[in-house]
Amino acid sequence: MMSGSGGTELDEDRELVIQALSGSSAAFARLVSRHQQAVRSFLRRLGGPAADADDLAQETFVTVWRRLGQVRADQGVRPWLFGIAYRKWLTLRRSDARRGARDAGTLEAQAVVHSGSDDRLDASAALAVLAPEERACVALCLAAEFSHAEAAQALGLPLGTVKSHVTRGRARLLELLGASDERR
Amino acid sequence: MSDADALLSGLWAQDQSPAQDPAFVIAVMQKVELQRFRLDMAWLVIGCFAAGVVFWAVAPLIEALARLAGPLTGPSTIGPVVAALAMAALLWSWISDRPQPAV
Repeated sequence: MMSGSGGTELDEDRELVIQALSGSSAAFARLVSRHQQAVRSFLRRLGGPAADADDLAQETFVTVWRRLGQVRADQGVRPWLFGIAYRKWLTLRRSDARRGARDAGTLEAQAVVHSGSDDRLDASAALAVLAPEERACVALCLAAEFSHAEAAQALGLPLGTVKSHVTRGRARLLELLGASDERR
Repeated sequence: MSDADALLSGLWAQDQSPAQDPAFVIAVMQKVELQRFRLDMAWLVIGCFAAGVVFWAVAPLIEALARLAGPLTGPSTIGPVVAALAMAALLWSWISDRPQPAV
């Protein structure tokens, strides 16, 4: 599980970015190592096979390397990195849709919902019942431990929208899993 | 942690990638180094082309200087020397920018 974004981690990320910008491949490799688990898990939860998610995660990190100079000091690396991953996923999804590919994730989720007997429901199948934006908000705030503000920054959405997506998404997920939400 | 939170945590754990994955990091770094190499090559080609244009433009001046310098440093001698120096400078700038081993 991804650890929280404490001050020390932010500072370490910034230091690694500065070193990578000055040409250190070792610093960039360390940055990849620190964030690979969270980015790959996030992309897997958004939908599609794990291998596709890993390919997309690799592309994300290559893009991050090309655009390292664009990291804003006040923003932090994590929301910026996940923003790139999310936009890559959206682009891939749109190009799949243009090619007329069927949304396998949605079909999978529908099968889960209708069968009602699959007790090994995985996160991507469960999340596939949600709209893409809702899915991303839930994957970031509930699974990757982003704050609402960080998720809003990463996804380029208003803070209120992120909060309502997370609340609605959580309720729908729990409904799908047949659990009640005591917090409501 | 409520039952609902525990249920969701279990759900997320199923899609969790490994915390340490050197193979993934190496795959990313290979792509990054390939991109860096392509960029370096592109700049090297641009640099060579620019140097060629500059030398072509100043060739008459170099020839005149060589004639003034005497028969030992005539155009047939100074041309290859200047070309070799330019190539060495470009190679040096490329080698000095080579990245450190990543992993």
